[in-house]
Amino acid sequence: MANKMYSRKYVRVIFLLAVFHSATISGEAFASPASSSQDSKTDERIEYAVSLNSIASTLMNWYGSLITTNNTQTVEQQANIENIRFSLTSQLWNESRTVYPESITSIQIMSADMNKHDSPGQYQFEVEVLITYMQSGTPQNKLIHEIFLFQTSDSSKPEIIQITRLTSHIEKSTSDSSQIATFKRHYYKSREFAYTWLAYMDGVKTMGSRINIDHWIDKANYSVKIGSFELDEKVGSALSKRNHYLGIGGHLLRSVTAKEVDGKPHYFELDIIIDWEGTDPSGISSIAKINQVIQYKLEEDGTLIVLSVKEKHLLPDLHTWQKLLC
Amino acid sequence: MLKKIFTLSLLCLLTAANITYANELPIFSGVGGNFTAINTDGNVIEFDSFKGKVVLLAFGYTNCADICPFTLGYLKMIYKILSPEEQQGVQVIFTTVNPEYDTPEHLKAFLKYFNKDFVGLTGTRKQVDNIVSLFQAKYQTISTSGSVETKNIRRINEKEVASGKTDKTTLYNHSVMIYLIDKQGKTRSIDYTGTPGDEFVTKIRQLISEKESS
Repeated sequence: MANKMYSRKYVRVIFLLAVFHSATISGEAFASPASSSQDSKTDERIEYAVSLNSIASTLMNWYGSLITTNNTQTVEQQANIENIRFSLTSQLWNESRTVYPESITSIQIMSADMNKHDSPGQYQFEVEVLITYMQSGTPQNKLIHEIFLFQTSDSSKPEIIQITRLTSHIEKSTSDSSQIATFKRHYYKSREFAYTWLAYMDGVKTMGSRINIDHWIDKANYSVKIGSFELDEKVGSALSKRNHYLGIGGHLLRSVTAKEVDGKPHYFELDIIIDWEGTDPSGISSIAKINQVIQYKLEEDGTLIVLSVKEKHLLPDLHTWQKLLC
Repeated sequence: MLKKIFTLSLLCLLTAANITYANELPIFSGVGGNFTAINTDGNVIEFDSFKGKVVLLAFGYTNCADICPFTLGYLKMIYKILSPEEQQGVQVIFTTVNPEYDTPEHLKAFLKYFNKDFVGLTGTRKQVDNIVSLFQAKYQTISTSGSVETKNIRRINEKEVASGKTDKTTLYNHSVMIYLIDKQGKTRSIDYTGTPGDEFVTKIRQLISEKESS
C-alpha cells in the first residue's frame, strides 16, 4: 500500500562512509508525507527502514565479497577475519564482478545517493568507491562511480536488477595504510550483519539466512532494558516480546563499531546505535535511541555466529542542554 | 556560578528565539518507568500509583543553591497558570538526589515554600539511583572535601538538627531536565526552565486532554 502511495515520491539519501569507522548509511525518509496521520507516517518509516536496510546489506555483501581473501595463510589460520565468508550474489552478475580490478585489498565507499524509482519496490543506489588493489606488487587506486538498481519485495531479499558503470579512473595518489587496513572484508561483514539484523528485526524474515539466524536464534541470549521493562531470554522469544512491547516501526542504523574481544581470537563485539521511530501498542507515536552490543564468533569456515545481544534504550538526542548538570 | 547562569540564560534566549509548539508529543522509549520511593509523608509508594495524572518530574536536592529553587519556581508558575480542574489532573514531583540528608519531613517543609500540592520523593540511595537511571538523568558530588556545613549555603529552609550538632550536607551537580509524563506513565517531553511557559502549558494541556487507554 505504502509502495503505491509513494511510488512517485522522490527519496534521496546521501551517505558518506569516508574514513569514519562508525559511519552508516542514513538520511531523511520521505521528504513530504502525503498524509499527516500517524498510521501513514509509521507505514512510511517501516517501508523506508526496511528498504534501506535490506539494500544496504546487499551492497555491503557486494563490496565485501570483492575484496580478496588472505590466501597466503595456513589452514590453521583460515578463520582469520579477512577470510570471512560472504553469501554469493546471483550468477547473473558474475560478469559485472570481472570489471573490477583483481587483487583488491580495500574498498572505501566515498559517497552514495539512494533514489526511489517510479516502479514499485525499485530503488537506485548511486555509489562512488575508492578501490585499492595490488598490481605487480604495488598498491594502486581506482575511483569507480556506479549505479545499482534494486528490486525489493516483501517475500524475498532485494535483488540487483541492473548495474551501470558511470566512470572509472585511476587515482594518482595511493591510499594510506590505515585506510587499506580498515576497509576490508570484516568491515563490510560487520555492516552487512548490522543492516541485515535491523531488517530482520523489522520483520524481513527472508533476510535471516544471510546472518545464519537459524544457527543462533534459539541459542544466543538477548537481554533488553527499556526503562523498567526488562527481558533476558533467547533471541527468538525475546525479540518477539520486545517488538510487542515497543510497537510497530522502523530501525535505522546510526553508528557501528566492531572490535575484537581482548584475549579471545575470533570473538568480536559489535556496538551499534539505532534510531527507532514508530507507534506504540496504544497508537501513540514513539521514538527510541537504542544501543545494542552484539557478541559474535567467527567459525573456522568463516561464518558468523551470534552469541549474545544486549540492548538498552538511551535518552534520545533532543536538546543541547539535556546533558547539562547544575 | 555566573558561568552557569550565563549558560542557562543563553539557552533560554535560544529557545525563546525558536519557539515551536509541538503538536505531537512522542513517547521517549526507555526514558522512565515504574519505581519505588518514599514520599513526603514517609510512605512507600510506586510511581505507577500516579497513573491517571499528568506528571512533571524534576531532580534536585534541598541544599541546592543554584538551579533547584529556579526550577521549582518555574514549576510553581506553570502550575499556577493551570485551572483548578487542570491542577487536579497534574502532579508535580521533586525527587531528591540527596536522600541521606533529605528526609521526608525536611523535603515536605522545603516544598511547602513552592506549592503544598508538590510531592517530594526520597528513599534509599539505591532507590534514588534507580530513579535517576530510569530517567537517564545524572548527578555527581561536587563537595571537594566530603560534606560541608549548611550554614555556608544559601538555602530555602533550615533542617531541624539536635542542639549542639553541626548540620552538614553533600553538594551535587544534577540534570536540569523536567520530564513531562502522560497518564500512562510514559515520558512524552523533556523540558527545562528555558521552555517558554505558554509552550509548556500547551503540552501539559494536550496530555490532560488525552484519553486514558487501558
